[in-house]
This record gives sequence, structure tokens and C-alpha cells, in this order.
Amino acid sequence: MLRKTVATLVLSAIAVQAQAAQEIQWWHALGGQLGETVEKMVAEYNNSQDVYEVKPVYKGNYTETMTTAIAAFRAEEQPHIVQVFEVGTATMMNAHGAIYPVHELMQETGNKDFSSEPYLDAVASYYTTQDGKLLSLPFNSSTPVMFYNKDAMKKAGLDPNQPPQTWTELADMSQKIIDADAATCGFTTGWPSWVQIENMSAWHDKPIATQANGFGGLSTELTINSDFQVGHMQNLADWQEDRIFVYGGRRGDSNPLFMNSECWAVMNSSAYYDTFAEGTNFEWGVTKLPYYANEVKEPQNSIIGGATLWVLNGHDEAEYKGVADFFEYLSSAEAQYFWHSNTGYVPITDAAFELAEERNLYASKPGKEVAVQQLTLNPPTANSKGLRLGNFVQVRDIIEQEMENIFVGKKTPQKGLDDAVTQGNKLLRKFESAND
Amino acid sequence: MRPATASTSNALTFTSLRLPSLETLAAWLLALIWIFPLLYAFWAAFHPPAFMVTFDLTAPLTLSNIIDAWTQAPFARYYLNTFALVTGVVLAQFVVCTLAGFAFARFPIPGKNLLFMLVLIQLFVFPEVLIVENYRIASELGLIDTLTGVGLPYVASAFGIFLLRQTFKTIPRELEDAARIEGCGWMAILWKVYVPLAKPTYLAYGLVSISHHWNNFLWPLVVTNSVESRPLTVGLGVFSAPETGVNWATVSAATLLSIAPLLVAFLLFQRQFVQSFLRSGIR
Amino acid sequence: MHKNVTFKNPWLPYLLVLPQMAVTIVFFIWPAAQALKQSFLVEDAFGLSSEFVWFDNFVALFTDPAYYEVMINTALFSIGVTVVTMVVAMLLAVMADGVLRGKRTYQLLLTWPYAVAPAVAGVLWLFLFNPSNGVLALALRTIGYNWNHYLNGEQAMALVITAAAWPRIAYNFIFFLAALQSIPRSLIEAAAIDGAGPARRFFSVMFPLLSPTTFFLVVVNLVYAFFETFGVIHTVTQGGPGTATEILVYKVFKDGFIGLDLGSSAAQSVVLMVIVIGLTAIQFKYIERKVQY
Repeated sequence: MLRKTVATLVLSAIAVQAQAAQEIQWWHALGGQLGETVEKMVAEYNNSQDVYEVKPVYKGNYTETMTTAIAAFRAEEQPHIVQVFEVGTATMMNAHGAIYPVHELMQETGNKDFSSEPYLDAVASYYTTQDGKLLSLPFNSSTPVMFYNKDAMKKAGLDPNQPPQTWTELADMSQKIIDADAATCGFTTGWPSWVQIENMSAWHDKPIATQANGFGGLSTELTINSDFQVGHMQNLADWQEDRIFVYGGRRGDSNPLFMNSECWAVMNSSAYYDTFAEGTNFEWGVTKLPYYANEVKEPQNSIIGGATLWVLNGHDEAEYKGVADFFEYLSSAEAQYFWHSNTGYVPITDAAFELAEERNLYASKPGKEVAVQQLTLNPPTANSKGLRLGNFVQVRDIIEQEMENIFVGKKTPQKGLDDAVTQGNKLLRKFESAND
Repeated sequence: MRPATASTSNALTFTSLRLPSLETLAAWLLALIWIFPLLYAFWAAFHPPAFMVTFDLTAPLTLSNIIDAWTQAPFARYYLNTFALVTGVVLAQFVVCTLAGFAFARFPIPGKNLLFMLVLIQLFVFPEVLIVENYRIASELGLIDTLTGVGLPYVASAFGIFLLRQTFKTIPRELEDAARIEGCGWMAILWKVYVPLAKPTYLAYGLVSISHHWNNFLWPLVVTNSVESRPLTVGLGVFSAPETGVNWATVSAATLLSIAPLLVAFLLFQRQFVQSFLRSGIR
Repeated sequence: MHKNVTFKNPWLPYLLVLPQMAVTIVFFIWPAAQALKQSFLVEDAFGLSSEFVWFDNFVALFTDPAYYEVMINTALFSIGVTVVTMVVAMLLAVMADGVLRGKRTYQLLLTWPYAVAPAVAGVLWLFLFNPSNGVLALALRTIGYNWNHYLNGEQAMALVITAAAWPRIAYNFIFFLAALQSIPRSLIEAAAIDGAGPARRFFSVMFPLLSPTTFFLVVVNLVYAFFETFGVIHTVTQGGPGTATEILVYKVFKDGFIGLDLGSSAAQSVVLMVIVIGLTAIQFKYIERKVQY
């Protein structure tokens, strides 16, 4: 304690003399190259002015970052800004005393014009209140797309510029490619629940939970055991028998299957674009997720993953001014363009997307635009805005466990998804009772 | 549980249950398989990333993974932090545990067994469970983002106290009495009689403790915010970013960089380690 | 016999344990008491609202079939780690006992993995067994065995057992080797002269003499498997596929740290602590006896 006081005294003495910049702490979960890109952006901001000094701190993966920030909040050591992944949204927005909603922050620090208007609908809608106000600042957003091996298509006599659009085409082409020995398996998927349940449902305009996917209230219940999702799981399970589909694990664990040419296609986050660019030695392309032509005429829109920046309560006004100032910089078209062009994340404002087109980014990095096209394909409906479910980290875990049970043949698709719903609903009720 | 000698019975000599050369070979082969994971890590660290995915023994050697890992993080600083942390923790543990172990071994304290049980239970409690509370306490003590904060919770090591108590108990009282006759106080007795006789225990415990704190990850990650206070393991965390995939070649290189000092320490102290290890029944 | 009272100052022992007790109270007893309190609450993650629910968290735990699955996993895993560790360690020790040339190098090789932390060991094994680019997974595939621990629960369990046992075997090896070397040679020779083959010699003469060591190791290995293998599970499988490799300690971490369900997580740690106290009592008793002997 004493040491801290002395340190404060010394610091304030220096501050009087040198007008030290106000420090803004930003805890994030971006390691490796992403972390370096963040450092570069922050350095540019810090050099552009001398009132505030933003200090980015890597706090481990998403769960570690979020949990640490919460522990810090309980100990009154919280940072100003914390990056939270999309599934933590419900937890954060229900922590009324702990968060400082971004729209209020902007209003109160003098930026009266701030609104969700400049952001892509599919991005902003995930993080706004019912009346369209942003609670946190969108930062890194991605969406699942399909990466496919063009060389394998050529080898099987298929036109590499005509990738499959429907699931039927995907299955047929996979069979041809396997028969031609151009690959040993068809397609695989990463983030199983996010891609094959959450996004597939939105893509076909089907709900995954009641109460508008949870946006309408805490009493929401999962609906992923309905015919559409069960049918899709049944198909995946059937395709497994001929290795048209191969399950390769959660998160990015299945990527190597694609990267060493075992599977000719992988559905995974657009954020992996640069990983594939570096790690493969064959020609590949990016295309939209497949859809079931017998379910819909055309797909709806996909939903995002990634993270937003939340502002935590408990700091003084001068510091919040700095946060607001930094947020404006982060949302600028230039900053967003820099972020988009250096990572696999989508440009989250319309202005940044236009800038990217203007500067011909997609000529040098073909396929990078697919993610944005997919997100903006149609104006989001209640089923495709995203989802807002409490305890969703665990719920997703349960869904993935049950998907694994289905793929391994332990349970039928109906039974697996029924069980996922039963267990998931328990967690939703628990969240409801802890937050009402 | 068949011993490897099962196939030949003429192996026995009059001095030992000696294995024939064929089986010596088998023993060596087994040992190589045994450390294969380490060998493979070396292999992965010194080959280009492309050869991680397409396995090929003729792949060219490279130092670039090591260089990548080295330049992507301020390793020198992290080594320094880890070194300072581990030294500080181990020294503090020696002092605290010696005093407590001495008291538990040689003094009648009312309720001693209960107190000692309380110490022992810590051996098994999973520190991650208490992280939220510990964070709050560290913050109230002003220890967030300091090396002291990283190390302090581990200073009262139940394991260390247990070991030293056991060792002290085996030391004959006559030695203590002799020292007392020479007019030594408790401090001198502890310092001149007990500590020197417990040297192997200190060595063994020190090594175990070093390897544990060298590799500790979650608590340091949570409690530190800056390069100045982060140990090696946390610094390495930035290499595996699941969102963007993991570059295994770099991870192997970074992993090797982080465990190399320990591997070398084991090479140097292996004999002492094994001996003291046995003498103190360490876990 | 000596009496314990040998120093005049009655406060001295308390002074001696004071630093240790201070740290223990601040960083262990106090937080543990908080965990106990937490186990009776339902609270949001930020601690903004909380409700006292008596034993609801415990009831929910024990009526959840998943919790029993995790208990069974824990039993399988612990027994697996203990058996694999001890069988391999004993085999290696018997071989090392026979290797005369280069004995030091041989022992060094076998004790080296002890320098590797469980979490790092997990990473190393994961390198080898990644279904699509792990060297050993590929080798298995070439001989026609399909390795995919992301999907196959038994394989995943085998992998975490191997990864957890690996650094541990080194430790067991040292004990077995020492025990073997302390067996009087004349006993083995006598058995050999009676015409006993190596297997018979091992089981009828050597093994019974190893039993005190074996018993000690069983206890410490079980405790290790129970409580110190978190790092392995976390790096290798995160409890998957399904919940095939989820063990009690990992569930505490998953529900509390990842899922932010502090009440249930605290209730689970209370259950664990009860188990721990039981185990500690047993071990304490046994080790006490051994040392006094």
C-alpha cells in the first residue's frame, strides 16, 4: 500500500512537470501476428497525439482475458477497455453496474453524432440494444466461409472457378474428387457449433432459440433440435461413411486436414485467411457457405464471430474522454482498412469496405471479400441478427459435445440435439435466475 | 508385468541379474523411444514449418524458427524475469519452510497436528480454483503486475514444510545437545546443525520447486500486465493464438527455448538430483 | 527419551511458524473460506447480484448425470495413469538394473522427462499424435490404424494417460531402481540355482521385496493423477471429445474459469476438498509410519 502511495506521489510530481499522458489500459486476447498488428495500430494512435497513452496488454485467450477482467473488476483493478468475444456478449450486457455502454460513453464525452449507422448491419445488430444502440464497440469480426483446394478440383476434372454452392453440389464434387484420388477426404469444418449449427441456421433463416435468438429476453430456449438442424446433422453423419465429410476437431484443429491436402475443402472462420496463405503450397479459393436448395431459394446472411471492445465502469471522466477518442480512431476507415488488410477479419464499417475496394485490396488478396459479401447478402432477420444467450460458452461446449457424440455414432442426430437442448436450457435457466 | 529378461535364462552371472547384450540393445532402444517426444520437438524446431505438415526426413535444417521465436518476444527480459522470480521464490521458500519445518519437527505446539494437517491440505488444493479471490487479495496488497505478486502465494509451500520437517525429525538430538552445550541459541543450532545436515533435501526440493515455478502459467498470466513482470511461460503464450491457428514450428522452437535451461540443469545435476530425490522420498 | 521442550522462550515456535501461517492464511485459508461461502450462492460473474440458495448448487451437481460420468472418467484416468506409470517404470528399472555400460547416461535419459512440466509434456505428445500431421498418428495410419483422438474418446483417453504418465514415469523409475539395487544379490542367485527362470525370479523373489515401494508409489501416483494433471488435459483435449476426458479437476476449472459459473464451481471444489482431506489423512498416516520406522 505504502509503496503504491509513494509511487502515486512520485508519478503525480512528474506529471506536474512533464504533463505525462493519461494511460488507458486495453486488455486483449490477440496473440502472435494479430497482437503485433494491434501494437502497430496503437502505436500510431499514441504518436498522433500526446494527451493519452493507450497501453495494450495481452491477457491470454478469450476466456482468460474475460475472466481476468472480471476478477480485476471485483478487485477494483479493472482496465478501461476489455476485448470480449461474441459469445460473452450476454454476460457483459447483463452486468449493468460494471459496464459503460459505448453509446452512453460517446454521448457523454461529447460525440453526439455517434450511432451504429456506419457499421455493417450484420456486425452492429449483434451488439446493439433493442432500440439500436451500441453497447460495445465492434472491433474484430469474422464469419465462416468455405476455403477450397483449386488444384484438387482441376485434378478431378472440375472447373476450379465453379465452386459448389449447395450442399448437394458439395457432396457430389467431394465424391468425384475422392474417386479421382485428388484428395482422401471431402470437406471438414472448424468451430463445429458456430459454423454448422449457429451459422447454418441463420444462413437458412431458421431460429436457434426462442425470443428472437435470445434478443427478446432471458427466458429464451434453444430450438436446435428442430427438423432442419437434425436433418443437417443426419447428412453430415451419412457423409462421414464415404469420407465426404471428416470431423477434425474443434476451433482450428481441423485446419491441417485442409493444409496438407487431405480434405479439399474446409468451412472455417475467415480469420484463417492468412494462416492458409502462409501454410499451404497449392492454389486455393474462398467461397460462400453451401446451402440447401430444397430449404430456401437463396441463403439469408451469415453471422459473425470475433470480439468487441467493452468499456468498464470505475474510472474518471478524463480517462473516458481518452477512451472515446481512441474509439473514434479505431472506427476510422483508415484504421479499419489497415486492420482488414493485415488480418482475416472483415472491415466492420461500410466506409472501410469501400476503401478496400477502392484500393484494389481484393485483386491482390482474392477471396477476402467473400466474408463481407456473405454478411451483407440480405438485411438481417430476427433469425440472422446473431444470438444473445447467457452462459453461451458452456452451451456451445455442450452443443459441440453432442455433435461429437453424433459423429462418433454414439447417439442419433435427434437424440444428440435433444440432449443438447435439454442441457443447454438448464444453463439458460441458471443464467436467467442469476441475472433477473 | 513381464521383466525383459524373460526370453533368455542363461543371462544370470554370479554377481547380478545381468542382461545379455541383445537386451542391452533393447533397453537402449526403449530409452530412445522413451525420450522420443523431446527428440521430435528438437526436430520440429530446426526444420521449416512446411515440413511440419508434410513429414519428410530429408528436410533441410534451419535456425529460422528459433530466430522467429526469439525476435517475436523480448526473450532476454523474460529469461531475466523468470530467473529473478524462481530465485526469489526458492530462497523465500527455503527460509519460510525451514523455520516452519523446524518448529513442526522440534517444538510442542498445542494443536500442532491440526495446524500441520492444514498445511498439508494445501498440497492438493488446486490453485486455479482460488484465482479470483487471490487476485483480489494481491490487488489489496498492491501486488498486481509485480514479480512479488507472482511469487508470494507460493512462498508457504506445504510440500517444502513437509519435507524439511521429515528431514529434521531424522536428525539425532545428540547433535543438537552438543551444540547447546557449546552455548548456541536456537538460531545457531538451526544454522549449524540442522541446515547443513538437510542439504540433500534442500537440493532436491530446490530442483523440484525450480521446475515447477519455471513452468507455472495461469497465475502469472492473470496477475501481470507488462513485459517488465511477465515470466517466460506467459511471454510464450502469445505464440499460440487459436483464433489464427498455431504455427507449430515456432511453438516448438519457443517451447524448446523455454525448457532448455531446465534440461541443461538436469544434465548437470542429475546424479545429485537422483540421490537426494531418493533420500528425501520426494514427491 | 528426550522431552520436546528444549528452548525457553514459549513464543519461539509461534514466531517460527508465523511467516508461513501468514502467507497460508492470506493466500489459502481466506480464499478457501470464500470458496466455501460461494458454494451456497448463485451469483453473476461480476458479483453484482447474489442470492443465498442453501444446497442448491450441490443438489444440482449430484442430480446431474454428467457429474457421475466425470467421476467415472476420473477413476479411469487415475487408474490408467497409475498402472501405465508403474508398469513402464518397473520395466525400465529392471532393464536399467541390467545395463552395466553407460549406466549413468542411461539413467539420465530416463530421468530427463521429469524436467518437463505436465503442460509442456501435453504439447509434445499432441505434436506426435495430431491426427493430420502428427508423426505417430501418420505412422499408425500407414499400418492401417485410424488415429483421430478428436473423435474417438478411447483414443483421447489413451493419449492423455500417456502424456500424463510420461514425465511421471521418470520419478517412479528412480524409486524402483533404488529398490531393485537394494535387493541382496544372493537371494536372486539362490533362486537361479534352484532353476527359476527370469520371470519366476522376478515374481517370486524381487517383486515381493518391492512391495513397500510399490504401495508408496501407488498412493502418490493416484494423487498426482487426480490433482496435478490439469495442464495435460487442458493442452491436449480440453476434456473432449464429448466429455470423454473430462476429469473432476478440469470440470472445476471449466465451469468456474471458462463458464463463470462460480457457485457450481465452488461446490465442486468443496467436494474435491472433502476427497482431498480423506486422501491426505490416509497418506499422512502411511508416510508417518514409514518415516518413524
